[in-house]
Amino acid sequence: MATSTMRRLCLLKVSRKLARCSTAVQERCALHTSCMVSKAEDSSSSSVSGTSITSSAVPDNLIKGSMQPKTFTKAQKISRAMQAYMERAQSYDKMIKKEIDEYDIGKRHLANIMGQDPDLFEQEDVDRAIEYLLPSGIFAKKARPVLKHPYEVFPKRKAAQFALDGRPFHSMFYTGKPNFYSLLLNVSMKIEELKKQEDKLIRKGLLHEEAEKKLLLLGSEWITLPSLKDLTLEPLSEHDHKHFTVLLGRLTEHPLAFKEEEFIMKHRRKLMLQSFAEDVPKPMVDDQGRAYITASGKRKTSIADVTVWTKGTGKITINGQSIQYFSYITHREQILSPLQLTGRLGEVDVEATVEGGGGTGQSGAIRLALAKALASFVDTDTRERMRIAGLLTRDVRRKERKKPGQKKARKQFTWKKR
Amino acid sequence: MEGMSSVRKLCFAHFRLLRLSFDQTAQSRTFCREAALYQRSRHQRNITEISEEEEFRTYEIPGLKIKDDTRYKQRKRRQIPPPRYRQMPIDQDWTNVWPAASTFKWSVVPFPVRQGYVETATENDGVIPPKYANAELMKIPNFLHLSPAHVKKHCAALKEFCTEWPAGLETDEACQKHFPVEVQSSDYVFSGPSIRDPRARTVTVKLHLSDLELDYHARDKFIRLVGDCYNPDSDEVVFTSERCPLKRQNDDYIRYLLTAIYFESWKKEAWEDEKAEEDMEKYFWEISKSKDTVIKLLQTTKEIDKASASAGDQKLQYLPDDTSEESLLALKEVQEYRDAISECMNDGEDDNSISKYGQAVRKLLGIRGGVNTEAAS
Amino acid sequence: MDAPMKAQHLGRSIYRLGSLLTRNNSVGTAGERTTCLRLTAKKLHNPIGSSRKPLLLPCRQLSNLAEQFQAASDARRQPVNVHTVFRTEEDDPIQQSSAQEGLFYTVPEGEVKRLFQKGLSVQFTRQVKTFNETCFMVRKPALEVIDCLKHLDLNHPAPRFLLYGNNGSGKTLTMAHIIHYCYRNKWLILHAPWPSDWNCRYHETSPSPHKAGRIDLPVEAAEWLVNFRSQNADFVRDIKLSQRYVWTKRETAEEGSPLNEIVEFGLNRMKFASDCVGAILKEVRNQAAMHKIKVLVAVDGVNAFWNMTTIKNPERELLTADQLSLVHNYKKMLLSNWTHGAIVCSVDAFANARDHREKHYPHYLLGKEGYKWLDPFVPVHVPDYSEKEAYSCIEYYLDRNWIQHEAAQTEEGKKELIFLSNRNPFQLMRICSSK
Repeated sequence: MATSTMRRLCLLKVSRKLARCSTAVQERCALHTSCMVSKAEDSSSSSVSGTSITSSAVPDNLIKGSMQPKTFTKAQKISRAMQAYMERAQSYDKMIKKEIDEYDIGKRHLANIMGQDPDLFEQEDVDRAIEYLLPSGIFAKKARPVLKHPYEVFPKRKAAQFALDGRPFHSMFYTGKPNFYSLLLNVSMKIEELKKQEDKLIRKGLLHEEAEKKLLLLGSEWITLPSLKDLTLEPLSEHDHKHFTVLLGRLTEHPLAFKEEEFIMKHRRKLMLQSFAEDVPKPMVDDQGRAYITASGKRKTSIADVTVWTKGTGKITINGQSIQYFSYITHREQILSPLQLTGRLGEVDVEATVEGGGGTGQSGAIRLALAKALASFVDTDTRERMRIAGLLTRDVRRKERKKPGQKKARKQFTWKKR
Repeated sequence: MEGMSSVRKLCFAHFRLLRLSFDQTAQSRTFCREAALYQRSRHQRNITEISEEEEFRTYEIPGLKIKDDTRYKQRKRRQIPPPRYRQMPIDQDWTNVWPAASTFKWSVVPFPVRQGYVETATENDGVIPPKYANAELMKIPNFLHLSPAHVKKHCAALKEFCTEWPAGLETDEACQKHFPVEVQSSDYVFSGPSIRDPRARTVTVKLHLSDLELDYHARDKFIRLVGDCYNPDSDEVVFTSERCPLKRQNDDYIRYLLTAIYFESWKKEAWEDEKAEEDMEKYFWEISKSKDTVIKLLQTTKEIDKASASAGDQKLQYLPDDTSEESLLALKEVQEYRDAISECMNDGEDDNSISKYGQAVRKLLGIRGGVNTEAAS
Repeated sequence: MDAPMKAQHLGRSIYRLGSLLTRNNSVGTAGERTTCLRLTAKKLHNPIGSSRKPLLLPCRQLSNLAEQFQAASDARRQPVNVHTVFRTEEDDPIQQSSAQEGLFYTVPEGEVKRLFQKGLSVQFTRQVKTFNETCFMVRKPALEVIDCLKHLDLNHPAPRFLLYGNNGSGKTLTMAHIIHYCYRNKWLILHAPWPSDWNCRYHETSPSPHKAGRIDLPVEAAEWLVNFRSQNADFVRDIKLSQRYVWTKRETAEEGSPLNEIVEFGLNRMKFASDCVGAILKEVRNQAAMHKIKVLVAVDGVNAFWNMTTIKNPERELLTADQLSLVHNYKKMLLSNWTHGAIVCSVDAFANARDHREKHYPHYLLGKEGYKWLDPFVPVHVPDYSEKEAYSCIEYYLDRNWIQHEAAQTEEGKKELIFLSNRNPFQLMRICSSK
């Protein structure tokens, strides 16, 4: 009797742990739903609440072929947990199926309402129709009405991590983050491997031959925490991410790291080429055959519209005035900078209208608009330099609000003892 | 039938109870008496029952015996039918289902639209709230708009009330030409107890001054009379009235005003001839001090030229011997100067008009030199 | 001031220019900064004197840091654009023509002291002191007016020239150039340097002894007398009074006595200084009519004559400038009812009240009254620098070691300066200085 109690206690522990895992699984992370292959055949149709799977908490009447609670064996208990999991998975599938059906019918309804062919009604048409029928001025686009496919609406879930006999598939299952730790292990194994290779080369005296081959990491960075989470499908913390970058950094520092380039680049995100990707508007041509282009820019509360003509004499007009519109030199320098960087000083005519804000904001707005306009006239290389210099980026800083109980945004009132 | 009767009974009982409570003061004593009577009769009945059954009375421990709770069972609620959209055929006529713009109804809208901001995965399990009981979708800007089919249908319905557009008024210019006076007023419709709105009385009349038949004097007088109502940039006169309580009265008033001002501006009073230079609507060189100065200057110059014995090229060649005012005014140089200064004063100064003025003055005063540098620019 | 001191003075380096260039270093546009002093036995320019005289300066003799710095910067200077002409030898405004346009000429020290005790702006005076020389640029508006003066028929009523232009476009210096011409050409100069000061920056006021209701500004009048005496030292001695002036019972100026007497009297008895100014102006008008002398009336910021003053009368009302005896007398000079002279005025937005400075055009600045008074006048536009003038000015500053940043030697640097200043002379001066 005593042994059986002990065993039961053990089992209870295990199943609790299991339950914890499964809740964690439920809370966060995704694997494609198609991964949810039912491993057990004897799934029951009744539903079980996800969070209460300790053996004692499961109501009797919900288990198919209910047994007496006292006589559960280990295998039975594990299969009960699996069963519960399968039930949840099945109900989820059912729900998704229902949602998909409803979506498909709704789409056809929507096409009918808009008087279009339901068979040719694509997601873009759906979005357009929703915007037409339910116009919303809410600032956050995410908060506006949507009609999306259920796959996009419902977050994905992870499939079962253990077999019918209760054994986890993954050797690191009990770490809680098996994919993540296996990734780390993988990295350290690779480091060890490279060390071995290095030793071998040193022994042969061939290391210098490999010295020229370098791993080029410029223009990319380690993947961010959210993408790492997506990769591993596991809930990770900042600390985990740091761990990950440090370890991979160690791998890249190795002189033979280029051998693992493919692996490393899998965990890096490409930077740059942002401005290559975005299409620059083409200049128009006016009556006199001069190319011109109009662009707008913002800074603080100022908005500027700038038109730039080529083949000019370097004439600047700001709200009908010359550059002396700005009395401070710093503000004039703002306008100078894009012209100077592109080497178009004195070659283009600039006409700007700017409103709102003060000198700093207005000059900044003109600078951005001017840089945007000039970007159409220059080659890709210069455009890239402009982008790196920050000329093509909107300065998002705003005035910080004043706080009650303080004199300004940060400044405090004078402290007086009494 | 039986159900009906039971309901009626219940209603009666309820009604009695109500009456009881209403005239309680009058009947309270009666009620007490009746209650006592009821108690007594019940007691007697119990005694008779026991005696009839002749059984041993058992002690009932409260809570031990399962009570028959059929009495307390609630009445069956009415089955809620499934939402309407489930029965809709896919090729229905939507305009019949949703005839006019109205607030969002989840049970009628047949597509699973969702709305709501889900910030994290933990919030609502990371799912955007569906349409059922979604207050966000019911808010005003989200009312379900009319579809293109609706618009077509509504237009067709309205068509019989429309009249044909008059011929000859196809363009805005034609409208402006044939109907130069534009009268604007507004009506306000809203769901309130009153159909009146104080803003409805305001009447605005617009017209272009060029459409009125006015001569120079009348135009000037008209502009002076209407004051701020005239916008010189658009040449538009705008009268607005809300002084009277009714729209009609305001309309009449403005019509009267326009008529009165128009005829008044054609009149010329005797005192209008006493207008001095300051009162002029624009700069007239002929009555300005500038004319006197210039004439005097030229006369002096001529006298000096006559008196001096120096060479001819130093003198002002163009000046005639007769230095009377009329002959001087007829000179080309003086007229050029007049035009230049009038342009400066009336059309505003700019580099162009000022340089023109400078040229005129140089010619007028016979100033030589510096011209070639001027021409070079 | 000894030589090292002067060198130190010049050593003020200006790094405003090319601040952007240095900022954009990362991008790769900026030049390198040379930190070592490369002192070789090269020909080095003397920083103080004329740059045309090369001076051999061995390393050992460099006494102080400023000189070393100077020498180093000279040595480092690239040979680009060195020979750009920005100076003219033609120091006589009478001989100058459009060939010298855009070039600087030097005004002799003595003439500056005599002519421009008051007539130049504070900033320009400071610059003159730093550069140790007074240089005016020969510009078109001045040449234009001088050309007109050359061809003037003096028997005719005095013509009026009105300089107008943007703030800081060089109206005052154009006028100074004209005054210099007239001085060389033996004209009598009646110069009112900045009559706006009479309206609001007066020292003391007193009721006029000559006429009730007018206000005298004794200190300002005395200042004017001093300026007049120094500008027209010869005339003051030669001109004899044409009538008798009675100041008080005892004090009179007899007919036939020199003009100097009135000036002396005005300076000694400040109470009568304003009346003395009036008397001098009247005398000059009369003498000019008697064909004896040529007179130039120069007023900078003439629109101040039709403004309000900050002086209050006993009824606590602000007075108009007309009620100042100085202004009243001077305004008479602006009418063209006298001969043998010319009137050169300038209108300036800064002479107006703060709320009337939007435009720089004559009618706007003068107002109706002023325009009536001056009409007909010859408007002379004083524009901002042309391309050539701007480059010339930058070259001049470079020559004076006033701009020491290396980038200023380059074409881009000059373009940058021109862009930032919008070719406005005053703005260019401000940008190139540290203030």
